[in-house]
Amino acid sequence: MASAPRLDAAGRIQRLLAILQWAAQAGDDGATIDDLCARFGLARDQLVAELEMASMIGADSIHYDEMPFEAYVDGDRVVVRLFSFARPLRLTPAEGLALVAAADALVDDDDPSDPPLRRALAKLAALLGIEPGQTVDVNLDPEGGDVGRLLADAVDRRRRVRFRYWSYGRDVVAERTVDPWGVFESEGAWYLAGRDVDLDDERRFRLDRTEGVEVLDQPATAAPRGLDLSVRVSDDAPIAVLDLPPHARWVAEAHPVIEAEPGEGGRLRVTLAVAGRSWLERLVLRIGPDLRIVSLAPELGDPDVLASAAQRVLQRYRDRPAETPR
Amino acid sequence: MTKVERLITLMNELLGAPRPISSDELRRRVPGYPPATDSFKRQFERDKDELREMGVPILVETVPGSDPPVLGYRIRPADYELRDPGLEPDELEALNLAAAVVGSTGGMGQRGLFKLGGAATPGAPAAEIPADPDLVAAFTGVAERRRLRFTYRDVARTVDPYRLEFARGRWYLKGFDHARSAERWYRMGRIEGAVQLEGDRDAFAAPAEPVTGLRLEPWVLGEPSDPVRAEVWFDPEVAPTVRAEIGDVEVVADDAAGLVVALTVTNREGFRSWLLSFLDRAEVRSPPDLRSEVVAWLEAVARG
Repeated sequence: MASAPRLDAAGRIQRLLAILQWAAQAGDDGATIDDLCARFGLARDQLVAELEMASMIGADSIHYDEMPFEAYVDGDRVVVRLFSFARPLRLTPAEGLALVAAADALVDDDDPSDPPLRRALAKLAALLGIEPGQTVDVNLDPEGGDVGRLLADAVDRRRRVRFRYWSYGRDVVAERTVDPWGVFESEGAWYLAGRDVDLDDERRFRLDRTEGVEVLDQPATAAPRGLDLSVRVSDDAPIAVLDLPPHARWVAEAHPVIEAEPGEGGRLRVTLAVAGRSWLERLVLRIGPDLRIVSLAPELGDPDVLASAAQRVLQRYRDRPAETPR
Repeated sequence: MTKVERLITLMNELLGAPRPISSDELRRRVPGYPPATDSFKRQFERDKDELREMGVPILVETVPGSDPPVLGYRIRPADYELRDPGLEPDELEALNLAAAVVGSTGGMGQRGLFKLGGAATPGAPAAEIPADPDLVAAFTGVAERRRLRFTYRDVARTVDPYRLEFARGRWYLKGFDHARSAERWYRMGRIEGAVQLEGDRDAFAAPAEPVTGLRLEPWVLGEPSDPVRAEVWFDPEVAPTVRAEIGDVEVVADDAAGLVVALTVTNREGFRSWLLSFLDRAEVRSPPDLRSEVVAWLEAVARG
């Protein structure tokens, strides 16, 4: 049986009222304890404790008619009579949003049959006054697409995987063999955490930079205890200090900066960990000529990264000076 | 007496009460409040807040015949009760499954499900959609057609909210911006301060045209300019990744010499920034003016 979800007081009240309403609808014979436990994710003693609490409400009032409900256990059944709270409470906007978002994320717009989830979403939307797909639209693949599902299955079955991977940090496309440990989402992108077999080291791989994922018929090493499913630059990553022009302050939002210090004229001096020279080249070419490099860790190479990166890309344009129609 | 019991008892006293009930009377009727008057008042205020947050509509009125006037409280059943959405058992079951897969911040989906007669959702959801009070305010604005006020890029705005969209892990809002007299997209996470709901329901008409969805492609996103058709070459080594990233675009060529695609560019800066993120694995082939812009940018960077 499922374990009871952790609920705050508001959640517990809604659950209790739902239990009572569900059991009351079952009629004079009541609902079985087993059904209620399964439906509401409770162990038998938890359910009985909730019902005992419920039957105390209003019981010591001088007005008998203030008892909102009567609930008792009869053998393996629960019998409930409601004097109040027969109808559920209306949804709050936050609850409505949560349900619409969940349904909209999973509903298949292309399914020619009219699946129950789409019908449920339409009824919910009518209740709330919105048009799904029009006024609220949720695009979410909760599993990371086909590649995510394939890799998650390899994680479950402890199978080694192989794929071509484009490393952004080094700008190298290469075959990687990986013991997959976990598939996760961060900031809208999906990742695989695992051990790179050839490097014998833990790595993160963005799923959209993988190609041709194959699940091998080889066992994978197990994930370490307490594996951290998040994206982070390793502690020993080289450091760059950049003096950003005002229009490039987004860099501090888009990347985890170790330190940021406002400068003159809206400039911002940031210290950040860098995944590799190519990663830094991409960043500086996007920011443009008014970026100043304050310092670079020696392992990142030539400190004149702006000029060297720009020259390399320019070479591509010089190789093909005129527009060549194809 | 636990908080759950006290709150249900309080709700039971107020729900359907024929006249407003004063706090003094509630103190006598609802067991479990602290005896000291100050503590009672604080606890009573917190309880009202908590019930309102659950969606319980507590009406505050003057108790009839009280002199001096005393405030009283009650809940009208018509305000309290959920309008039956008429969910069939299979529809409710589908909603249960959806809420078990896609969670929402603060367990709001679970609370809503209980109200609809749904079951408990076991375990942690596979994915979680972030929701905060600003998003709930924007959703309320969309659902009830109420105006929103918020600050975005240092500008205080009044917006008629048309559409909320969740894409690539973020929420976006589209609406009619009164200061600019135009439709705009806003990234919810970039709104500064709080989103305020302003005025009454049905403050504006639904847009006549269907609201177009969000385009997150960097060469489209942002303030639009005249569209140009750009042909871009990619190194064959990264072609599969590029094709997966850019989705449904016109492919001019895809062979051993590389991938060439045609894009409709309306944001030239966004296009350049995206293009350069491929370093020398991408090259804009045409039109010539867009190509010269990129070359001029690179030359400026090379000069330092």
